[in-house]
Amino acid sequence: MTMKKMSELNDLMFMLDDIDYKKYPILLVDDDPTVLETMLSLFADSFSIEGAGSADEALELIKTRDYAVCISDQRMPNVNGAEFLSLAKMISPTMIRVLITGYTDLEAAIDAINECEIFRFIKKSAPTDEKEERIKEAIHQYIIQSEL
Amino acid sequence: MLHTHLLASDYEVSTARDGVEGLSLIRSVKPDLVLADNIMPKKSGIELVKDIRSDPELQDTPVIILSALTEANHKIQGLNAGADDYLPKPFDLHELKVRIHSLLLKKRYERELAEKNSLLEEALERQQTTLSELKEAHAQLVHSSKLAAIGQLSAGIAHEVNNPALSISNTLELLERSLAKVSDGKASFDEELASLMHFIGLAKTSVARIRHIVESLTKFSRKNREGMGTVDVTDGIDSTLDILNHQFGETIHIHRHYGTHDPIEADLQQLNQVFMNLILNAVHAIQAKQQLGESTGNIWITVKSQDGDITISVRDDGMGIPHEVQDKIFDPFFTTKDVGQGSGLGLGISYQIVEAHHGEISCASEEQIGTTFTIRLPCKAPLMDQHDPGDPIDNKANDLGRSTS
Repeated sequence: MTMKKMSELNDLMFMLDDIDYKKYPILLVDDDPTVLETMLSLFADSFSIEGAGSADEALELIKTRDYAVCISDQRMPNVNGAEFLSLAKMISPTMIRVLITGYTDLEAAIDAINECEIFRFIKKSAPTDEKEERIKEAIHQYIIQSEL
Repeated sequence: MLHTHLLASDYEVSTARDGVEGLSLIRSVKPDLVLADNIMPKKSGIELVKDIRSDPELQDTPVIILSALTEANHKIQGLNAGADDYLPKPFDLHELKVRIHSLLLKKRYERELAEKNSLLEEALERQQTTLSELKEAHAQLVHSSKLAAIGQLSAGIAHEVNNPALSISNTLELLERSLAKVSDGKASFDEELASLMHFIGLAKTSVARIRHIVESLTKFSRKNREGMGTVDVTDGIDSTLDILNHQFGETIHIHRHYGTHDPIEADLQQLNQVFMNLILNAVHAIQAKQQLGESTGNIWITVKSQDGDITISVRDDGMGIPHEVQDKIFDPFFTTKDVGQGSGLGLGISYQIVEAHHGEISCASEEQIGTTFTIRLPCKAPLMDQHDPGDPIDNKANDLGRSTS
């Protein structure tokens, strides 16, 4: 990395302290309506977040709008989270992908990393502030990626 | 004793002058056969026979008593004392030779028989050891198939419980935030009331979901203390479907057709294991077909009573079973699934459970069309309480025991 790039990166890191997270649209995908609704309500204050109740619905939304981050549940009927995210990557390669797993599923984790370059895993049982932190990191990644 | 030289051409002969000398000679030589006069000095022939019969080392030695005492009661006395034969004097040498020969032959056959018998006993013992090892292995097998099924389901069940648990924890946090707004004076209680009530409603629904899952799990695995009981099979099917609910997703539809049916004598927990295996197989067959891009996904479950029997069928419109493996599907360990995907035990165990209930299970399948499993169970199974359906091999063990004894 050149000196110029390094200093650009420093500027970026500096910038990250003062980000309006609401400027970056986020898509949350979960087949459980109650989980989806309560998560959306919890994150509504900090992020500009929308929900989709199925992989099909989410793919339609991704076609119509550029999301900075897509967060998907791993366990869904028909298609699992990792499979959905690799489809989503084809439509929107720059969108940062995050997977929520409700249980330890090593196979899903390996698939997710190898096939669709997942940026973060979020444990379903993690406290809300930890989830928020992961989402912020994903937005940081989106900013860095689009600036570089 | 005059005849000893006449026998010497055919046998090796030792002689003694009286009963006492005879006994000590018999003890040292251990002859194949004893010829004894009845009237002898010191010890009579009858006394000698009694001594031989009471000596564990000699008791099998054949004895022929030769005697001038020819009354029937003497003969009976001699035979009662344990002599194999009683020959009155004077006798014909040929007759004596024939009798000696046949006694020796009998002795040889007896010895061979005893040897074969002990070989048989050893073989039987080995067989019984193998059988008990087999029983042990079978019990392990049943257990591991149960564990495999539970393991296969546990991730799904955890998900089913985790989701409402997360919803509850989310709603509590939302309630907290909402109330904080009121206490900070950022919003009035009346403004927040609607969303508070809404979140409480969500939490209640989630609690009900968890309760329902736990209830189905308990129903599914409830063990009747006696094992057997009078049960309605549809209760078992319903609780099994509840447990498997997360496996169906939106693409697999369950159609229940419960006709009028009688309660049956059965171990419902074991039948649940059968229902679970059949329904899971149907799910896998449908998923395999869906992966090829076909949009099918129906499972029909039918229950009806007929002529004192109950018939349960599980039909799917999945992949179907290839013709060439159809007669192997009930074999233990037979599986067409990849390593780690299935133990190959499900249908084998199901077969044994149904058999232990004196019922029948059969399969009809056509590739690309679907598969139907049909179970027929007697409503009242005679002798049912004498068998442990959890240990179907027990019945076979009894059969084997009978045929070899």
